[in-house]
Amino acid sequence: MYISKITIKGFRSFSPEGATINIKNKLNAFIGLNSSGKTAALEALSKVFGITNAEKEIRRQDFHVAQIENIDLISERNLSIEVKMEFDESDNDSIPHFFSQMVIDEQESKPYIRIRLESNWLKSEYSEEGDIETNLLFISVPEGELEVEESKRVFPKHLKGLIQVLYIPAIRKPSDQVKYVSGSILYRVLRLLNFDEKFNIDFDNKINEINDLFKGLKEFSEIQNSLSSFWKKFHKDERYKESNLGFTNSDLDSILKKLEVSFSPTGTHRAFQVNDLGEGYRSLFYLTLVCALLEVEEKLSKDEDDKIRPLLTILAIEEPENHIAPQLLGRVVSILTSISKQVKSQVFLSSHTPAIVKRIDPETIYHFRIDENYSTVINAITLPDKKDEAYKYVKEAVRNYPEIYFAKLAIIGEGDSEEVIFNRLMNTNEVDFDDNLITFVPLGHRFVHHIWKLLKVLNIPYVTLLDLDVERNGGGWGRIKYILEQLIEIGVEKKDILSTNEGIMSDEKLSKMHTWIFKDNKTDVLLSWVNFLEKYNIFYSSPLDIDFLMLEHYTEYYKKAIPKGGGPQIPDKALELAKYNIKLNSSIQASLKSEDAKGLTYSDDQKELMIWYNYHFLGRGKPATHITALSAMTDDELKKSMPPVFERIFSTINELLKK
Amino acid sequence: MKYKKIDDWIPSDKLTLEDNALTTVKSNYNTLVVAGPGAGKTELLAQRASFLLETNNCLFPKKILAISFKRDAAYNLKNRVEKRCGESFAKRFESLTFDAFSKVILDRFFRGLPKEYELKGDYDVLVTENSILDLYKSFNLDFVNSNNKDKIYNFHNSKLPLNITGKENELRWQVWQELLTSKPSKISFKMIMRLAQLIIETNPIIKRYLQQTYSHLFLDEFQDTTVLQYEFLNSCFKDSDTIITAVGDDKQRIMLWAGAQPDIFNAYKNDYSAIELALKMNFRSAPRLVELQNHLMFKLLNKSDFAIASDKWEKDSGEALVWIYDNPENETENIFESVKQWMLNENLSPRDICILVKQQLSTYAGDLIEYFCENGLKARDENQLQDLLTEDVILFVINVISLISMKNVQKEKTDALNFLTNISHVFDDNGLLQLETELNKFILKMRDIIKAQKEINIRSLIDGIIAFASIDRIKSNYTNYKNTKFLNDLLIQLTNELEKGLSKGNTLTEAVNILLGKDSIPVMTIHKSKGLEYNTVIFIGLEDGAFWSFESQQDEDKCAFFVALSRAKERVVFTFSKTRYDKWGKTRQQSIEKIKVLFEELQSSKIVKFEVKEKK
Repeated sequence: MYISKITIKGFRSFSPEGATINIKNKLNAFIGLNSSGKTAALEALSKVFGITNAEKEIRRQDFHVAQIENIDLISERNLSIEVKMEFDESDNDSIPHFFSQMVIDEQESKPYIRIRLESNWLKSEYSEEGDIETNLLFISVPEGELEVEESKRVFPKHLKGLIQVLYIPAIRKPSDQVKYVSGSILYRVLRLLNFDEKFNIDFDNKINEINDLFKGLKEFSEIQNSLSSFWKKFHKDERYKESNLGFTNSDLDSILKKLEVSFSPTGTHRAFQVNDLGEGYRSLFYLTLVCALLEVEEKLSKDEDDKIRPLLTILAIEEPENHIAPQLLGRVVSILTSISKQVKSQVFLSSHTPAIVKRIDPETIYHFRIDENYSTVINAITLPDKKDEAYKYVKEAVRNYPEIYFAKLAIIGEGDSEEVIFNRLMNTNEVDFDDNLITFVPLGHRFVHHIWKLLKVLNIPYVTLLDLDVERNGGGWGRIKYILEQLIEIGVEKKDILSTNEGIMSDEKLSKMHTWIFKDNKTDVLLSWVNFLEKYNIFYSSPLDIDFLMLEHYTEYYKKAIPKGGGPQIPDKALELAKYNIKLNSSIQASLKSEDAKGLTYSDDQKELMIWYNYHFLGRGKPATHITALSAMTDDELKKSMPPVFERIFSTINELLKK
Repeated sequence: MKYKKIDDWIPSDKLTLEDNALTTVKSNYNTLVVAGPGAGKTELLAQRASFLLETNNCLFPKKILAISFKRDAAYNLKNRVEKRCGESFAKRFESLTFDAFSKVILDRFFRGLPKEYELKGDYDVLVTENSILDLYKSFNLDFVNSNNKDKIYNFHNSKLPLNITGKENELRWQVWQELLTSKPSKISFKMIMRLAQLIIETNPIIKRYLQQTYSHLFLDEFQDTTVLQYEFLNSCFKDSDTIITAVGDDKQRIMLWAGAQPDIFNAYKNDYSAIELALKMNFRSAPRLVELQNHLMFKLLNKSDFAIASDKWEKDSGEALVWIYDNPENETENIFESVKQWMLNENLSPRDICILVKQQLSTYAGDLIEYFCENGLKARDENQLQDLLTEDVILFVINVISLISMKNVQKEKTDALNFLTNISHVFDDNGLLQLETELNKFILKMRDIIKAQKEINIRSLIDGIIAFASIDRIKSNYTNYKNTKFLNDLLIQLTNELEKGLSKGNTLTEAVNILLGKDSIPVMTIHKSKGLEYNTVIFIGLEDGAFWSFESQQDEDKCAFFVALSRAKERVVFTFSKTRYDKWGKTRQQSIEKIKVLFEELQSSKIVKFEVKEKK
């Protein structure tokens, strides 16, 4: 059996309306910024399925209080944590336990059970904590069906323990778990030991041997004798008249309590205890313990005997990245993955580091954030349909840019150049990339609307910067058409973006937009569209791309950004005009990526720059060029010639961040 | 919990089981256990459950499902299993009636029904099928006029899915649609079973999960399984690994009229390759009565699985009598005198004696009941009140009234609290304690109210009790009480009965006792006597008139005769009266032409004493 849905209402940062997590996998990651409700979600699981009373107890502070509420005026509160569980068809161990609680949604869908913790808090005159009443229930009607009192049945005691949560907090003390105390991992493992009759007899014999050994010490028997004789003097009762100093059989438990894990060789003369390990190793050892426990349980459950073992162990691990060096994180994720692959386990982790996120399947990631009412909102990312080729692209994009989940704002751009340039521009424009968690996402050809949708789901504002590519194949009007179509994809009304003097543009006309020509080689009409689209936070590097834009605005710096003796071979215009023209034409053709390209809409200066463009950005690594050129500029110099489009982008970014 | 090895297992509570019983208990194949009257079927099933659970033959965590016909039988079986193997093992023993089993399937998986069977809201259960017939009438009066009622019901309740080709099928479709699309939907228990069957057949996963859950299935009173029930069972368990233990007695097969599948034993043996095992012991009847049963069974029913009486009896104990009278008046007076003597001499209580008739209770025993009551021996028609007194809500009200009128009644208190816990879903100790405190407070309050009344207002007392338990809770736990008229009728009937009791100047306690018949001799039809036992059974009217359909349904009538006979522990009396009043009060001569064979075999047994009772 496994959890297929969690619904949390009124618990900590979860509002009474609550949030729902639909779960499809065995390993799941809850990610988001600090205080977004990740830990609350993990703890919610341990409230329902925890082992110890401390884990299960609901306290006053567990009840949600909205930002605007006056805590003193609240007299009653409710919270609920509901877990929906489904079963593998071969799961013979679980199905019989729960069949009589199963419900179904529609014909031939999978039967499932609903387990819900409900808790009610009432203000009390007598205690500051108030009166809290908590019930664990089966809900025996399908979701969405009206619940009457009869649909709720108390989760029977004998089924508790069949589903257990191992909650591993961010601060890990494995030493607590390797002690023989109720609720610890070691306790759960040792409970599997079968102390049969022979063992008990042998144990008694050994204890007697030890006792004899002690009695052999002269001082020891002295103590025993005087203890006995004094006891008899003071104590007249027939009962308890013998007093013996020694070890008894009941010490089995206390001996188990002394059981410890030690590590060797250590390079010193003694073996190390858990606490002697460094923090990172401690964390890893903790996970090792969990793995071992699950494996042993699985193995022993195959033997025929009558100990009842959990049908599902839910490993809820907070921030597995803690104390662990980044290069070991891969190993941690693979340990967790292997735990999750055990038949009877499911793993939930919380994390706020891209290092973990990038190692996890995007489809298992749930994004937590706090909305304007300070309540948790949870979203799974929406990937395009699996059959769609965009599916692979978006999946790879989030895998490679895991920062996206933690961003406050995203810039969507064409590629590496944009990233390098914006990194520098951020500093100059006093917008801190890191502080404000602005992340850069590559624009996938044809797929930008998927990225927009994704960001919208995560509630992350974004600006898009793309190349105008005037006179390139598919460029110019093609780029406008592309964006218009993408906007329509995400639900922007046609009447808002396709209004022209002749009314709303027909679909047919739009489909031919890329064939529109530039009348008199003038791009004004095109640029008016470009201008219009800035309303939608869509910006163009005009007229060609960002490389050309930079080259145009910081020409001198880029011309200097050449290795010694490098730079393009430019024939002298005055001396070798023909040769120069050939060079110029071939540069135009290369830059505009067509043998027929003339660069009719480009000015002579711009055409000349294409020779440099060709040299820097078609022949050599682009980011390197930008880094070299940018590093030669002071902030003031950079600001002075800033392309206006960048200024507009930054003012937009600042506005978005303020919201 | 430690499991026992199969070889180490001995019957729980050190009971001894006869060979075939032990074989059944330990079997790992489908069985058909033919268990005659008094063979201890409940005990057999409880021991089998005990064996399966204690040896882990019903592999943890799989469960045993036991299906009975009546709610009390299901409840008794569960209790017996708890007693035999402990509460913890018994958690994996689920005991339900056929109706309850199909209803839980429907209630939890109704969304798995095909679209056209969608239920609207929280459906109402039709307690009788009259309104279904009315619908057929309103859609097609000719159809109803040209077919008999049973045929229409059978047609209505035949297997789903609904077929819509042909005029009749179209009519059925119309009626089903009308019932399903009412708000709320209105369906009978039979329709519930068909819908549950449809769910199982159209949702392979549910079927698989069901079979995975129940590794063992017990079927009680198997001879009475109806066609509908058998088909439902087949849909659930045919060709599964679930091992079935069916217990029944074809000698007691008297429910054909209610739709029982004829030849069910052979059908089951074929369909499930079940091994037939017969139980020989009869723990109920004295040796001579067992002997008589064997004789008649052999001669009349052509069965040779002779029973053996338990050795707790003296060898020649038990008596069987045929009393012959001139007229019913003589009969009544003579029976009255005899019963009075027995009660006095043998210290029998009214509840040790039972007066049986084949049918038409008021015709055959109406005057007798009156005569008994007038002469100081209470007797009453159990049929009349049986429907009332098996309703949980009525029993609850009666229990609470007992608590109000009497002090120190423990069983009533436990039962009342059980009802309350069930409907309020309180199971923890604190909740239980609170419930008990509330009940105590309520009882004290009601006592005060009654003390202040000159004349007890029964209706307001009952209403108070219902309000205390909360009508909504009762309705949400018992679907059949959602039908407000049905519940109301029950409560009115209860009010009337109690008022009747009080009107004779009785106390409330006495009125309750009268209602429960604690000091009345029960009078009932054979069909109602199934599964019951009495020290003395008096069957009135072993005559052609009572067996008017003997020629056309010999088997069923012989079985009925056999059932009547086998209710008795020590004494059975059959009466014959030369004249009998019919239901219009006309005197009719009685003969034994048609049922001669019964008399002949009673005679040839040489056990039965024939006495001609002349008027003194």
